[in-house]
Amino acid sequence: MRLKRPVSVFILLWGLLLGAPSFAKDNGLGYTPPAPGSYELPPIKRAVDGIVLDTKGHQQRLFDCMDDKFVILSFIYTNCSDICHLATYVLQQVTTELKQDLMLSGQVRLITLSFDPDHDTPEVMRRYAQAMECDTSGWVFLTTSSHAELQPILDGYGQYIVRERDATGKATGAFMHVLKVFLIDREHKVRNIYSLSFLHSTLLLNDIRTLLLEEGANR
Amino acid sequence: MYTKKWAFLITMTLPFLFIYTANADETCLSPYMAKITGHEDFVYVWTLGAEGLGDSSDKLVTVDVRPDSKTYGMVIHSVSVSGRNEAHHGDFTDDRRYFWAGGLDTSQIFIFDMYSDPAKPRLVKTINDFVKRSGGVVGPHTFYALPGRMLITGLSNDTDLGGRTGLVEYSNEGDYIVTHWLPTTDNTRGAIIEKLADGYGYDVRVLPRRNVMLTSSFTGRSNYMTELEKVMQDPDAMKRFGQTMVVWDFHARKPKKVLHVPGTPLEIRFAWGPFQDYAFTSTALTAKIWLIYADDKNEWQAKPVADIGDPSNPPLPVDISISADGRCLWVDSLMDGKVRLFDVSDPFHPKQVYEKVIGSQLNMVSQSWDGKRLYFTSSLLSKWDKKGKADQQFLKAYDWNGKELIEKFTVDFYQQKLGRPHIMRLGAYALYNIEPPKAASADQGRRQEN
Repeated sequence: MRLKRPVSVFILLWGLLLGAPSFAKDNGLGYTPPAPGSYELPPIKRAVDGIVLDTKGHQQRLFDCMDDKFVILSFIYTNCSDICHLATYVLQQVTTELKQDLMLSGQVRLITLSFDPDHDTPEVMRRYAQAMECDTSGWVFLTTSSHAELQPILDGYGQYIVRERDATGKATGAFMHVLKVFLIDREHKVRNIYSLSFLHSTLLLNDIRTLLLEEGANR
Repeated sequence: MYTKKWAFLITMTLPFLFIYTANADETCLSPYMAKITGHEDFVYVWTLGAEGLGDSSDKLVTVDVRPDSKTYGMVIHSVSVSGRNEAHHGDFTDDRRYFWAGGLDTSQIFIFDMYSDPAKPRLVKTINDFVKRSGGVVGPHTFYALPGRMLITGLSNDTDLGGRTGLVEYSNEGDYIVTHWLPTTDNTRGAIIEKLADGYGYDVRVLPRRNVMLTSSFTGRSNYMTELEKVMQDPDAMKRFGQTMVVWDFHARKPKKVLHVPGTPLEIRFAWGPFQDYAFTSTALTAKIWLIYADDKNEWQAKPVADIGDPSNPPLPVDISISADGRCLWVDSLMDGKVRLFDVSDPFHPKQVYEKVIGSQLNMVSQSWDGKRLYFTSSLLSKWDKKGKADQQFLKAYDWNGKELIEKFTVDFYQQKLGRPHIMRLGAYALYNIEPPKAASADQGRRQEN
């Protein structure tokens, strides 16, 4: 009766089942994505600010980390046994492809923010970025100093997490969560939210190109 | 510790593990939604209020389905909303913390908190300007979870109360985002039209790995809020039923092709297998199963593949449910109160393998992911339900042993002064990592004993 398996694992499995052929191909979506600028990304909601810590332990405002760029913001925890690392892996692909696109390079900031401040200290986040071989020139890894600093950020983005506990009530170190990655424009509006099924570098970059074209048209 | 190889490994292997580990939850849910991985604890029933019965209002009813509970099969909670709104469909947000439920008459949307106490949902917000904010969409029907958003299909519009309508997106916080009007013959919105584009709406489902969204088509408010007998005797009214399905580029939210599916295609169910590029629907007026599939040129097509019951006396099929392995399709029909099981392992040649009368009338069906438990409700629409003694209103639970349905319990929604039960959704404490309370006593619940 009592569920032992984390819901997050099931979400991963479900997402991968539906997206498996796409991920299995070399950077292939399995379909032709819509051309940048051929569609719109209406604002979903306002992004929220908060106090965060960078990998050196320096306190910063989250909006300052966005630095007037288009932002891909992901929430993870480093002890995650599944989807968080896959999200980081996809964002690695984004950084690789960004380097090959002169129009985009320099206009995009990747932010990975931990929702496990107890474990994910600034040093742990630094080591995580290093171990995952992430190019940190345009990608910042952040954590928070406390749950009190973290919770308003999670609430603002709608990133729901639940700490898992064993039969005795002791925290296992794992979290139940639905993977969400947010695309934020320069005006701090959320323009798309990706789950695992649509977390693909081609779609992410096409969406940013769409926003750039929108920006150009509005000038 | 963390490697790229690891990411590749889980990508390649877990889809196959999935097949053997998932054992619960409904097969009709959005793939973007958190799922139950064990036995469900509750069935939530969005229920139409019936005039003069109880508080007469629409309500969300919680039925306990924990097998070891003393209140198993009993109503343990209900939360009413203001008045009767023609309660119809509803569903969870992606994180399953909230349940959105619509009223087809008033176009109001009610948002319930499901996570604070999963046994006792709490109404936390009402959206009462849906028509105005959406630019004239009437009758919020399907609620489909997207990441951080809800995609809502309309059934009608505020100009002529006919079937032309749109899809509307809201943020999970309850704020309007955008409206996508369905293509019409006059305004195709860039879609290829197979025969005609009526612009009608009903259900929506997404197949993420193909970037395909499908919508189906019903009828407008002028019909669904009129007595069924009157509608069927009015030749003009009978012309105002949907006969299309639309294939969309989901990411762009652009219609690509309008398929001709005469007879009012209602619920849409994609097969879940990683290589199954097809969905089923049933047509209410012509009583057929249709297959919507990608052909060998990757073009989406629609084809009628089976009759439901006697074609000369169509039983008005209203809901379908596909098994997780895509081999079985349950089909409910209103007029004869029957559920039929089709073997759809060859999707082009479904074969009926079982049938059972569930009640005098029948509407929605939900099955658990493992296909072992099925739940049925009876009400279609307040104006279309049967009259007199045939107007039974119930939730019935069955076990499926592979050969026959074994009844587990019935809740009589009239006897318990609840109303007309329509859509069901499953709930569980484990979704929120909440430890279930100690067994409740039987007098805390209400059940119709068989």
